[in-house]
Amino acid sequence: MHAAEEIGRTVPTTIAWNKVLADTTEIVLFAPRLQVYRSLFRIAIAGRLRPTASAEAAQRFSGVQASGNPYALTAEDLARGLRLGVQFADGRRAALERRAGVLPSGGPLEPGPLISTSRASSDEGVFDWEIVVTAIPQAGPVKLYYQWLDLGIGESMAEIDGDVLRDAADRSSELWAADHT
Amino acid sequence: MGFFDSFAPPIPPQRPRRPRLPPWRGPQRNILPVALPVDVLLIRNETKAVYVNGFDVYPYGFAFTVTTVVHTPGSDAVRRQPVPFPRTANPFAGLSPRGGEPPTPEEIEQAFRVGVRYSDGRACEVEGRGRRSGETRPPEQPLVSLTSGHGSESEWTQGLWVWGIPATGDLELTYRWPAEQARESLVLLDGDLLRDAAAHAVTLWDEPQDEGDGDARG
Repeated sequence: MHAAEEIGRTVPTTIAWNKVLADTTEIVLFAPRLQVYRSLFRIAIAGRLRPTASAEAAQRFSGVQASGNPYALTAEDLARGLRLGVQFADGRRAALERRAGVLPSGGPLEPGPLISTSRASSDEGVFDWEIVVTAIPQAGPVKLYYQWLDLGIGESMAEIDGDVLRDAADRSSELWAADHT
Repeated sequence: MGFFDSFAPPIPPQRPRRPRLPPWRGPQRNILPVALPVDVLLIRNETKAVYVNGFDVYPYGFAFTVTTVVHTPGSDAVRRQPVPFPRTANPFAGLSPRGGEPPTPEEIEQAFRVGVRYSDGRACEVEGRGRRSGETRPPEQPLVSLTSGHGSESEWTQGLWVWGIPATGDLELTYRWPAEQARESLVLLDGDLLRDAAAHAVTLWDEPQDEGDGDARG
């Protein structure tokens, strides 16, 4: 089943993560929840720009990173902007490619993680993203890597409990059986 | 000296600041909410399903999402048949103006409705989208409002905001969808869980109060 099809046929299981990823004088970056399907999961990532943030930080926050014209992004913007990636315990890993902003619409799920954005919205000083990881590891935790050099967040990592993830996947419920016609 | 040197350097325009939603109409950006692990399937028939999740609790209310998915059984050819207008899976579409025209009473009656009821009997059902002009004082609690939504003709996720967490008792989430022959039903939300989460939400900074914000505590 394709990733988009699985999402459209499943009630996911929510894991309340409530994880603050970074809290600086300019921004609070946090991950409120995971939504787990049978063979993939979504991670919600949210940012709140503090009112004390510099004008330069505000511009970087609201300009190209969250909602700007993607065609205006330079390689340096991408390198210094918000970067996200995951790594499984067996070493398989993937990083978010901003140019690949949609779910793959054809072919079977990749055997390893594939990471893409499923939703992005932003408002003044606020952004809410969801990224999709199209695999669930058989064993071990998932490490979420992130950095946002333009806003002073160096490479950091937060660990997702793999057992909780796999249990949530087992508890997701399929709404309709897949059509094979 | 060049031509443009005789002029002052251009000043970039300042982005106009939109007035903030009053706290009874949406979540506040200066709050770090507490997410709850709540997923409830409300409706499922052969062609549609509706579930709620995405609960984020704030000190004075909570946000959640209603997701509707449309299932078209059969072959790919059947699934590619044109979808009748409006080309959206949004079950709340009948509550909001379209093309400048207000919804008809029948559209309102057939739309998906969701509401909340406190254990003391106070209740509210969601209305259409939009900030009420001239709304300068907080209305009675509870209040249920539509926030942002996104989706397509096969899936729609709609955000909702409930202003007011009851001081005691549980909270009933009521819903009905006459267009899908779904009669009024309810889901019970644990009031202690909501109150505990509200107490753990973090105020990141104090927001200057916009004129007309009123008292968020109701």
